[in-house]
Amino acid sequence: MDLQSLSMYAAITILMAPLLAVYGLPFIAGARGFSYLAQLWLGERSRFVIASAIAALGIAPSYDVYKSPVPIYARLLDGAEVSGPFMLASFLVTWIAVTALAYQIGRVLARRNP
Amino acid sequence: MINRPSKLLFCLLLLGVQAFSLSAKAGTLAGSVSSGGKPLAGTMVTVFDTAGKRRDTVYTDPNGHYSITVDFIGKLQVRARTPYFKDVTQNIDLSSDAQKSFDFVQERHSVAAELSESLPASAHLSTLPWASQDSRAAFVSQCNYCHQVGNALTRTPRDEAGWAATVHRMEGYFAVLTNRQAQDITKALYQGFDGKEVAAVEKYLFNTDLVHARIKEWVVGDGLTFVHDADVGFDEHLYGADEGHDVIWELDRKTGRIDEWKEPDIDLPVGGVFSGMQLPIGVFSGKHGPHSIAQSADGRLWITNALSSSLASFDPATKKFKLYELGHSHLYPHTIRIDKQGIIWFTIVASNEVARFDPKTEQFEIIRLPDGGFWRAVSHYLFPTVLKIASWFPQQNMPLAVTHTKWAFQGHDAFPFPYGIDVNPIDGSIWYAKLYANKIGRIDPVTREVTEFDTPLKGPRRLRFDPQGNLWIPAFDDSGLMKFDTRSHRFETFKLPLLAHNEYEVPYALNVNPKTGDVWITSNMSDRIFRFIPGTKTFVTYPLPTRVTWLRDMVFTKDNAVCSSSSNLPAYGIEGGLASFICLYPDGEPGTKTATPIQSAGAAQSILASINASNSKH
Repeated sequence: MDLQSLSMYAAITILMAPLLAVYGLPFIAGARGFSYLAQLWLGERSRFVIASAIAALGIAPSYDVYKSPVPIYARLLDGAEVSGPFMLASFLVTWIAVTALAYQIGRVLARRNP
Repeated sequence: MINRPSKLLFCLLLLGVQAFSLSAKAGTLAGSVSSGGKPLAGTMVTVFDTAGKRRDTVYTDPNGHYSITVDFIGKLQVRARTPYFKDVTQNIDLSSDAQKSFDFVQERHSVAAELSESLPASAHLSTLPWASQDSRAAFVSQCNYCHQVGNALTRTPRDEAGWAATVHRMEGYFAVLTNRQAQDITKALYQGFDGKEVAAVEKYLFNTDLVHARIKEWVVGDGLTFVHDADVGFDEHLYGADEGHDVIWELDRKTGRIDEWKEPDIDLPVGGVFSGMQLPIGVFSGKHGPHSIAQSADGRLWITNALSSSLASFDPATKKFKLYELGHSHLYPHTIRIDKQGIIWFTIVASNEVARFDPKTEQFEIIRLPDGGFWRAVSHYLFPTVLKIASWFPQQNMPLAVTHTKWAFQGHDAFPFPYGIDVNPIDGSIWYAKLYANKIGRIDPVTREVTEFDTPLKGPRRLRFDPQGNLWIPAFDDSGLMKFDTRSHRFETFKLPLLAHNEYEVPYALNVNPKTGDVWITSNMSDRIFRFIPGTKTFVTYPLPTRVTWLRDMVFTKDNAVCSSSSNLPAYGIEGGLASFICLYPDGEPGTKTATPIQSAGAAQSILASINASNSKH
């Protein structure tokens, strides 16, 4: 994949991020639930990283014939095939992105409500 | 059998009349068409010139007689074409002032595959198996948008992946579909166009009005030419806006001369503001995409440039263009009309606007039309931005990746698409049709107040006023014609005459003859033109000689012809492979008109009735 195609996929994914987040709502809720329940036996950093991974599972996109991003889980439920390496790569990139975004949101919230 | 002495007398009479009225280089052919000893009425006899650039056609009368005078000579081809019969073509050598007699004997198709090949697209379409009415409706609206489906080019069998790729490519050309509709259409095309012959039974109703009619075609451009609209100038030349090549074609119908005028270059990539879409869009290899054309009182032609979001003027006297840029957020300037004050009005389809341009001040005024719902508002506010971002990634079709027409399952409902426009001759108000929203609307020319009305039939496309202020509207999606009384706000609807009950038409445009009040309507799926006579509420149908005839705006000339551009997209899908200007002279062409005797309308009807009855048996 050339740089231009990569940038286009990035632009598409950013534009469609709100929709991906909507698709990922059940997983985001699960991540929040996990974070709450696991505070008894896991440290904050570990909980944060694992909760981000759960959310990323529901958001990590694959792309259809129109290059339109849909979460991998939704495509699998729809009976589509997604390659293993692609799923792994998409999940890892999304995990990093979700972790970074959640971290930033956490910092902003902490600043507003010290 | 046709009576031989009477035939000879008929031919001599015709030739005598012709000789009186011909120009020096004209030649005349006359004769008869029959099958099995019976005359064929309504046969299209077409004469092709040596270079294949001209085609003139007349219809045979109830006795199978025809006469045609052409202003081109040399080695010509003559073809007799009758539905359900095999074409007969002959080469002839016609010298100046020559008068020849030529009879045709046609044979009825007896091989199913050959008959199937001869049927129009509408017959082949009737075989498509639809999974749902929604998908069929989306197909009618979106897949016949600018070309026939079911003609020889588009019904070639493919595997399912091949059809999926085709549908995907068409979506890049603005066919707006949901994923479900795209899948259903792919499947229907794959299953329906399987290469097996179609056993359609179509009814071609002969009308004695055809006997006087003459059709002239002038081939223009190349296989990628797309003469979207044609207009007739004060000089009686036809001007055609070639959206494929950024060119205005000028045809002098008297001499047959065709000139090409190229629009000036502009600082945009190929595809204009749509450069991020799949390119070329259809066959559009330019930057402007000249689309619609109208002439103002000062003689200038005004042209909407769909791809470059601009308006152009063209002076036929100096052959000079001038460009007026609208701004790239105003997407796809479309149909153009000019009011009595010389103000230019045009629709802007993809941004739900009507533009008003005053040539004196050279200022635009943009009138934003009612959105008509949340998702349509989303379209209008976001689409320009999406196209801007998409232009960073040329030809990648990025808008399809992010469009809510798919992820919000809106399909073409996400756009209202203000399309046709016209000026009410009674009060100067501006009326437009919203193609996808199934509405018509009125703009008050003074207050700019907008009022909209729902149409009873779907797909209101290019509407026109009659001199009494009635609005006539073709219903593209519903094979219909609508009349709207702008005073009482009442609609009247009429079904177009189909060739068979399971076929459909996609009437793109119409126009009202200011002298007769007749409404001329394009058919576009069956290679015909309709004439609707409001007084009797009846249709006259004119079969057209060239297969894959897809007509746009219709205009009237001073010599009583109704003219249009034959602009199926792509032109190489048209029989002969090229676009053309086409004029139908319902009462014959002045100067070459011949009085063809018609024994009686009843006789003609009985002959055609026997042909149709015979068709039913087949």
